Amino acid sequence: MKPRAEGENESDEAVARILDRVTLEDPPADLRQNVIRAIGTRPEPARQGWFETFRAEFRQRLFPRVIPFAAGAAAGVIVFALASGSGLWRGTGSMPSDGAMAPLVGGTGSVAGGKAGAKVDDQSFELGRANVRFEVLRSNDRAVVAVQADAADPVLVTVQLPPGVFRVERLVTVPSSRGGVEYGPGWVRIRQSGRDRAEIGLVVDSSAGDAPIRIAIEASGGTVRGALRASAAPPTDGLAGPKTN
Amino acid sequence: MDGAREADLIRRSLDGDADAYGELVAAHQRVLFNVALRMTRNREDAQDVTQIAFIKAYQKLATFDRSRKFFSWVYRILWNETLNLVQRRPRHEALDEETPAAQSSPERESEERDTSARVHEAIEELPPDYRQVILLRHFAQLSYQEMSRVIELPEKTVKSRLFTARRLLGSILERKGVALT
Repeated sequence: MKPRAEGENESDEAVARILDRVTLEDPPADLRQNVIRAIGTRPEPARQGWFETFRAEFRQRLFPRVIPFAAGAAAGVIVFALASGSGLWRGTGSMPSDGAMAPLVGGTGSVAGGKAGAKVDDQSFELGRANVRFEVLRSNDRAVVAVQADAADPVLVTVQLPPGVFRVERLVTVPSSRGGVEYGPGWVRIRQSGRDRAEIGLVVDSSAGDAPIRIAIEASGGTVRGALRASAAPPTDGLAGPKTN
Repeated sequence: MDGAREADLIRRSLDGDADAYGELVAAHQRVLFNVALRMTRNREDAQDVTQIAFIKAYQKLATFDRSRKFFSWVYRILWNETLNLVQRRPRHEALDEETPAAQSSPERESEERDTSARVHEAIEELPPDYRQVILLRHFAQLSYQEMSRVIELPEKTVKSRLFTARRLLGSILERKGVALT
């Protein structure tokens, strides 16, 4: 047994020596700068739940606007507010998302963390080489629909909001370099590719009752439709679950 | 980076000093990017995951336990982000991807670089848990104790796993024609 053990140790040491000679690759030159740009808009690191941060930021943004920070960034975010206060959409528009940067709002970790209010829906849809995950979080009269793509090919995600129930406050896309956003009365359309993420902040009129948020994902593999719920109760019209065209 | 310097940078980062946080990023980005690269096998994905890990770490910096190393903490975030990506990515895509390091070819002039490329390829063939200990020990230069904290396993288990990982890696390297001398 001893010779074998010695042989193993020698082999182990030989592998260790080879590993210690391996050179590391240099990270992309813009990695650090991208991180700095992304955090540069927040005066200090978050000390509270992301949903609270989200709400606090929204209250400070009374008018629709786009905040560009650094065109061409590899990973970016765009933040803008829509129709705050009025209860009406500000009309159809589009926003190419070409590399603006801002802090992430939430993220998978914080979404799952439980501080942000309740996660009321979580669905994933496969379509060809694309996977799109939707998470809905709810806290009192606010909700967030997070759309996370993992797509080899571009996908077009359409979110339809029942009028009188939901009003869009904010939209955040991460990164912003590959997609684009269009919006109009009662709908938001997001082009995603790679691992883009978007978050749609909503004001919910609870008195209007529970109504599903309808979604459609279009990709080269076809179209999938489904519905999300924005409250703990399931949607009333039985639309939950994907349907593929 | 010594502990006092790191503590100072974290304190300044918490006060909103982005340049201080930039120093932390600069200090750790190389190792973290390489870990992500070996896991995702794709430079663009590795960059995305590394950036996201640093951004999330910044956002949650107030919750960071300062008795621990910053690297260990951001590494955990990176690892979770990477696994999330790898597990959700279509299998064929992961297999089709090639990193520059994986594109080894006979025309490579430097034998050392060729060996490096083969080692990288071999590491990528390891199961994730074994890959992780190899990366932490030999890329991040962590001690067994630090590895134990990062991956939340007893030191004894870490050592055992590392031993097994190296043995597996040795077999793969031999198959690839890398002399273990």
